[in-house]
Amino acid sequence: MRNSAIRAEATRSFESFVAGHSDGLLRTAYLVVWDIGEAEDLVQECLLRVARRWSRVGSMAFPAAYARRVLLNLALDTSRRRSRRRSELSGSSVAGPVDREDPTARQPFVDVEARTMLLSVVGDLAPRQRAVLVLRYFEDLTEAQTAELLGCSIGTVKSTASHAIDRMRKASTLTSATSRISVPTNEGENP
Amino acid sequence: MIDQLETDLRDAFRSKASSIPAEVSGRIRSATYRPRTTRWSPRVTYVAVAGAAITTATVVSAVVLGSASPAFAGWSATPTAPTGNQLTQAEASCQGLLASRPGGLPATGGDPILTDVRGPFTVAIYANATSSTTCFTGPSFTTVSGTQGAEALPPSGKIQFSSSHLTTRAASPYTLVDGRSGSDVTGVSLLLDNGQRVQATLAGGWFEAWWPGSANATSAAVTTPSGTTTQSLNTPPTACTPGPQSPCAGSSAGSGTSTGSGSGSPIHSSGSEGAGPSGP
Repeated sequence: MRNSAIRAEATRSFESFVAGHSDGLLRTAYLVVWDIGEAEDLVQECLLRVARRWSRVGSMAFPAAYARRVLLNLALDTSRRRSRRRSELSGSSVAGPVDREDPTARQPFVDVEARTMLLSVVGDLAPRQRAVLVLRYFEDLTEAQTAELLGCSIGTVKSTASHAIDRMRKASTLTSATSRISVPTNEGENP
Repeated sequence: MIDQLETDLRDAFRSKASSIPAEVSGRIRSATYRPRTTRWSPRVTYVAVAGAAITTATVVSAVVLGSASPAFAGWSATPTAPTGNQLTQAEASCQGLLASRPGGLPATGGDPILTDVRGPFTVAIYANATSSTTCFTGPSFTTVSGTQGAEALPPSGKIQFSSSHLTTRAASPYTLVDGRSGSDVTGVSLLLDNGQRVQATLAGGWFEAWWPGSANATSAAVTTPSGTTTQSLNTPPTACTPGPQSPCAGSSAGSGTSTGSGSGSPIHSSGSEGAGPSGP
């Protein structure tokens, strides 16, 4: 009887944890691995691992921090181990085209173009670089918090972020220059 | 000081994150994760106690897997012989599914290079020099997935993971692993971190195995004509440690085994499910 009560309480608390944190974990996973199918798999695997250790994790002060660390380890380990990327999509889980209002459609065209370009460059970064950027600029964590989550030094976080930002800045400059050259003007078309 | 690029980056991340389909979140929340309430569950303890008794191993397997994964009733840790026209029906389901997918998947022409049967479940691998497709058929579903990337053969007497994939079906997780085997390898038995042993199917320089649940394979007993050796397998690390080549490089691969042997080609996959011809 007592065991069943403990199990019920563990299930309830874990379900509460999933309800409260799975969306955040999914967003982080998606931005790090850049693929929604892979992100879904990673979050499920992360939650399975947390569930296995729930007797210990559930009593932690910040179980979400533990889960996020598990998730990042899985995401980065996956990117390292699986140079061949694999994704299984089943009928019920296909993340196909979704009809939705695009909030960026209300933005000036140039903003949309810049954001698309920026996302394209971020998508080309190494997952570890993206992870640092996501933690710093999406999660708004400090360099120290980012370093702790990734298990590396603050210096490594700084240099990784710096290299990634430099790469984006160069791409941004190049694209801006290209845009200026390629955009036709009345003067150019009708001298 | 925050510059414009950093501001744009925050906006871009928020924009990207907002595009996540709601149904993905729903699937994650609705899955069954079965949180543990004690450090050692009764089932695991039972495995440990019974571990020395070879004759009870099969019984333990049935208890562990049978209770944990009703969605995979009939699964066997050892490959079984196909029944009746099981292979024909699985093949038809796979090809039908692939035909319905625009773009299809790589390497699906011809006969499968490996077919693994475990009770009512059939896994077929189609492969060529640069790509592979795995088709998984059960009594009421068929899924396919594909990868691209050149695969190098591992050394003699070794195996090498191509992929280790965890997913869920009917809210029940299962894990499927496949990869290449050395030319002289005649048998592979995987040891999972829950104590379970799963015998892989080998054919054409490939091996494949799957099991209900999310347990990781920690080692493999690899059999060659000269005997059986134990090969450690790389499992996901629990910590990210600094490394010489990249920040926070993970732990090193197990002896002779890596799960990343390919060329890093992009995803090329597709899939669907539905009632296959093999059952309701």
